[in-house]
Amino acid sequence: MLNQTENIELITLKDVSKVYRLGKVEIPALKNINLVINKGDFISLMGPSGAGKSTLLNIIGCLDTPTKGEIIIKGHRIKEMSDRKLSIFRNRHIGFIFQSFNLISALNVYENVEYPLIIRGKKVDKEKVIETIESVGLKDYLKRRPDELSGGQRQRVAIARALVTDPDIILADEPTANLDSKTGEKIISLLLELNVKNNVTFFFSTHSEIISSYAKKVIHILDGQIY
Amino acid sequence: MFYIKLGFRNLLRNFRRSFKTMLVVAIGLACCILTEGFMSHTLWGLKESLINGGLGHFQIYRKGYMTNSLEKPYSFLINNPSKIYAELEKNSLIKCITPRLNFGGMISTGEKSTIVFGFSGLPSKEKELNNFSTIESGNFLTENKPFGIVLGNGVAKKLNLKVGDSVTLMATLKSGGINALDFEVTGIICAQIKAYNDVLVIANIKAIQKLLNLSGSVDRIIVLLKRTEDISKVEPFIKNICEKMNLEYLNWEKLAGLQYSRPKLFYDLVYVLIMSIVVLVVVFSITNTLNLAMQERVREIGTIRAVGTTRFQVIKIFLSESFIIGLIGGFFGILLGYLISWILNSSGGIAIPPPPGQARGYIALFKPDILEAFKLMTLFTITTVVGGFYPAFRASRLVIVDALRWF
Repeated sequence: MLNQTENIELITLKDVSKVYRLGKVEIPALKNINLVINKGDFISLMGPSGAGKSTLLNIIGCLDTPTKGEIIIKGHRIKEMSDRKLSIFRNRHIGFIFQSFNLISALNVYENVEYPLIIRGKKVDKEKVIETIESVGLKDYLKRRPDELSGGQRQRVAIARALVTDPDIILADEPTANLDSKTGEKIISLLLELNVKNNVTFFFSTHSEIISSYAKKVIHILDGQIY
Repeated sequence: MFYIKLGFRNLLRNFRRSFKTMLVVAIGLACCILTEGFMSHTLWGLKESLINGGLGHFQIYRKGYMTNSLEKPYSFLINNPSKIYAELEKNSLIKCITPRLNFGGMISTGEKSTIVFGFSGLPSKEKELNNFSTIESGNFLTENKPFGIVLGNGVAKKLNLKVGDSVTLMATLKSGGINALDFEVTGIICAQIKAYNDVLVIANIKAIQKLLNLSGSVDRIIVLLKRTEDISKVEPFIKNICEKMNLEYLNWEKLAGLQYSRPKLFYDLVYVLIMSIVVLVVVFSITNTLNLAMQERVREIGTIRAVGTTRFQVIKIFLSESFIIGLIGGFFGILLGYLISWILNSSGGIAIPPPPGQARGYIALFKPDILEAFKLMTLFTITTVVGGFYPAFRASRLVIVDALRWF
């Protein structure tokens, strides 16, 4: 099953560059990045702080726009989309896992996971939400608020929130950085399990060699360039 | 519904701040309700004092009287009023029908004299029509004293008159001659309007008809209703009679003219001013609250935008919060306004000194109108939503990657 899908091109970056401007100073964050992510990939992006990992993830996730170059996700040219279309596109095709979990503190576990489906404005499949929460091992925590959970549990909620929309890719920006090593390994094992079992595509950044060792493919980035 | 739930939960995050903002809305609304209650009662009092101070709800004249009465005061009289009475009596909402004959002339004690303007009517009916005037001494007109006269306290003071004194009333006849009759002062009254007291004379209609040599004629018929609220029901009936019998009429509002419209305009302006100030305070308060809420939730806004929330949906989340503040604050504002009104009314109201041009002060009560209160609640809810728009807009325009980096 995995072999049949692994060569389907999901995301293509063509000559992508990003330059930040601080007053008159121009700081290049990404330099002529060319990258292809296939369906079912489990890719780790490694590099030191300031290498451009987050910038690359933000651009792939349609949260930021490149200064130069082109991104094509499932045949859609991102730079041609309006803000509203991009929002809908992210909701349908991309899942996010953040370093600091970024859960909505006013909502409980169930509601946090349900949120990306609610904003679609259609009737929410409650069974699916519960199944997704079960898949990350939090069946007994549905009514808990984020501040009543441990770091590892919060990150599991974030994973469930990213999974519930059946995205084409889940982008994770240092998903284990705020967790102890043991919990971090559990989280990355969970992601790998989801990748293997459900063929979910993951692209995550990390500093950790141990975490990176779980990846099927490792990309190194330094000074805005992939090597 | 989700947005309301989320908005409610977000408000509970910082309960104290949300509560304070709701309190601002509630107090503001209560202030407006009290102001409205005070003004509506005051204007009601003014209206009733005018109607029951002699104007009645309607006055009926012979056609042409209103345009010609200044030049030819006695040329457009109703010469056979009994037919009109018979028509008017068919309506059960009418309490009192009475003729009037207004006049101007000079009153004299022999030593002093002054110009007066007055009206004459049937003593028994005029009592019903003048129940907002205060009798300072003596009695109102009585049937057993056909040549009795009631003076405004200003007239009595000018001529140094007291009850039981004799006076001579002189008036110009239709033909141009002058006639005079002696009267006995039976009462001294204080009408609501001070200037009116300085010229007011009330006499028996038969005596004035005799004085003016206009036997059986009246210049108007006063119609007093059982309830002022029935004006709109009775007006078509009056209009119909007038069309049928070659008459014309004025309702109390037209009769009162500036006496009512000016104070009403004044109170309306004061109300609008107070409401504008309160609305501004509410807008600033809600804007401040939601700005703080936005600052606290920048990263969360970045997150929800990342997972696909559109800008419009972000605006909806924030506006739902301001909507809830407006709705709950407004609801408690109504309760607070009515509670304070009840406390003030139960303690006997507030004694108000005589307003400019008025002879007497009055006890102000607070009678807020529930429909008006709900209109205010709607206005305040809209106001809070408008107040929330700027922070909501700012939140929706946050740059996602910057918001996600926010600490």
